[in-house]
Amino acid sequence: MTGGVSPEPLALEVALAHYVASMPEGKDVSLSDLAFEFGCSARDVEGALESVIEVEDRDLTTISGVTIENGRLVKHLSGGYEKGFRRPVRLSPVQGRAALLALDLVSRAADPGILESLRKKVRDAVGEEVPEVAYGGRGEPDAAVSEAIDRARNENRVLEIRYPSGEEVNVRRIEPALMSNIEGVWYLNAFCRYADGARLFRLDRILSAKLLEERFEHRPDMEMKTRFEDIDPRRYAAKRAVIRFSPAIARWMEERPELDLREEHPDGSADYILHYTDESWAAKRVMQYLGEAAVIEPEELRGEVRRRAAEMLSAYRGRA
Amino acid sequence: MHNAYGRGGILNRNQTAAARQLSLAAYLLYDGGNFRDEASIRRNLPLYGSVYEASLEKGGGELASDALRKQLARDVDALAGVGIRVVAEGASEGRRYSLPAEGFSPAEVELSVEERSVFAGALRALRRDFPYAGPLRLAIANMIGAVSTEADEAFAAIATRHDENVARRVAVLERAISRRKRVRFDYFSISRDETSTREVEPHSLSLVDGVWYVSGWDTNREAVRQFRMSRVRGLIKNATRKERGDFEPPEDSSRHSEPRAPWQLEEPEKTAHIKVSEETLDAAMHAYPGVVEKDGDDLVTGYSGERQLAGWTLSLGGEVVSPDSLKGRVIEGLEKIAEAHRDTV
Repeated sequence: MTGGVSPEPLALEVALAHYVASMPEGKDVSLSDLAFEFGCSARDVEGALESVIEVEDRDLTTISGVTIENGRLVKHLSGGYEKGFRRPVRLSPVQGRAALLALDLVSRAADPGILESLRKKVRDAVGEEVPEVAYGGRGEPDAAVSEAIDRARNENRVLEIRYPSGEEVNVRRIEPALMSNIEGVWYLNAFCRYADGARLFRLDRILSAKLLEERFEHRPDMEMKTRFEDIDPRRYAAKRAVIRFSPAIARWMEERPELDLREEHPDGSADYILHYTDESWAAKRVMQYLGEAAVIEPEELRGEVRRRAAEMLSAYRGRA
Repeated sequence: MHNAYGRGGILNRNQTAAARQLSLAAYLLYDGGNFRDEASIRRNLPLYGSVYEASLEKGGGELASDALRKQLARDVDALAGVGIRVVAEGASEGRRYSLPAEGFSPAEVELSVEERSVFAGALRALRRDFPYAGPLRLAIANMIGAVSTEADEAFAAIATRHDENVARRVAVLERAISRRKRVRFDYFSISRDETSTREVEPHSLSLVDGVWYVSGWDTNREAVRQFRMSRVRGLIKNATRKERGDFEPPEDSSRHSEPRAPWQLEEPEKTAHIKVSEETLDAAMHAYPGVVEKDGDDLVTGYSGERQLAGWTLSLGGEVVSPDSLKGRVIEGLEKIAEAHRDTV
């Protein structure tokens, strides 16, 4: 592992003890494959296996009769201690934290019921209160939509969704295929019968999902968007605008994933590129800065912001 | 079965410790939860026998028993650190040890086919740069075996921007939290536009909208603070030389530190009513559970940060119903927006 969280001391040895105890006699596996499976270097695996091999009592009872030969782990015979080690092993706090966070991260892509029972089993496997990595995002999982998508995927059933497009809401029949998540935002890869092609839907924009009886055939050739590059808003978005942020707020913009710096000005203001598809979304984005951000181009979006501001001002004044 | 096949070289100190700890677990586990005393442990397990004998040569039986007992205490701790619970009872010479099956294996261990597939699928979904990938693999190996044997389709793909600095900081802070180590780092405060050295007792990590945070007690400011990892500059260092235990963890350390709504950074003192579309209201209630409530058709929220709430209102395309001060702030903003967009630049 480079740069990642390391397991506690002894955690790798325990997992390997369980692994060798579960191997059938005569089986062998390369240390590099094992290293990949256990998320560490081949050297770490070898060092930990040497400790596992060293376990023996006065009567030479071992966990398993395994050796390391030419970069491979070979199991010759079962060991006397094997039975106890073959059972699933309790999780360490870090492992529990890792598993619970991973489940949180995929929480929109799996049936909420299965996730809940799995979370419970992971917590039981740790057996003590684990301080978890708190996970959140704008838009907690909408259980009804997630569940409908999960069932549609498992049962190959067509899903009818309500999805906004510009200012309208369309009803679309889709064949859901795969969920993708980029920096906390979930997308659903699906074949859209309305658009007659593969489409990516932002999960938090799906207003409702209804499971239909109709089945669909799996489309092996469908193009999936699963990589960061695929769903990076820069590529996903169709239009670009230049937004100028005032010196008061310009430095905050560096951390916004949807913005790319174009130019910094001597007075401390800065121009950023905003990628967008939906004009009203982009206009609201700009307006949230209360006049500290201004659209430089395109004129179309400038006009949209101007129109909205004027409309809202007259609404407020009309009521006053 | 003995292990004389091709065992190469001599184990280093850490390897020997791991082998000794594992042999204790194996020996006690094999015994089905019965208690074993120290004499039978040292007679049956050569790695404990040698601990005893090394001290015996130096200072006799009493010292040797003492050294063995201390070693056992450390090893029981090390096993507990990875979740394996050896039970020890009695004092001095009468001390006995056991490892019941449930101390090694969780009581309910069977995962259904769907659960296995979600668990293994989570790992595949997270391949890219999930900082906890290593421990997650071990968790899966411990609960369902090595995952290569599970052949099921991926059900999700989680992609993040690769940021090695953040992953490394997560690793360092995770270790500091586990060992209760106070840390020191340079931090860029974006609201003050300055970098300063902070000393923090880290309590927990959080990942919100794909952004990593650490929260903990800021010893200079004497308050719980939250730090965004991407704003940490340079290395995170230990504040003391101690191996562990610089502070006591807070009572309630689990899931307590989600970032607050930007307009509630201080204790909310006023309440706002905002008119938004029905769909926007539903989405806002999902996004800020417990912060945003519904009153008829209006969105209701407490606030202290007027500017932040005014900005959020405009991002929702909403209209302030009350109070007037917030309404005034929004109108002022709208006038500024209208001014900034008046003519072509």
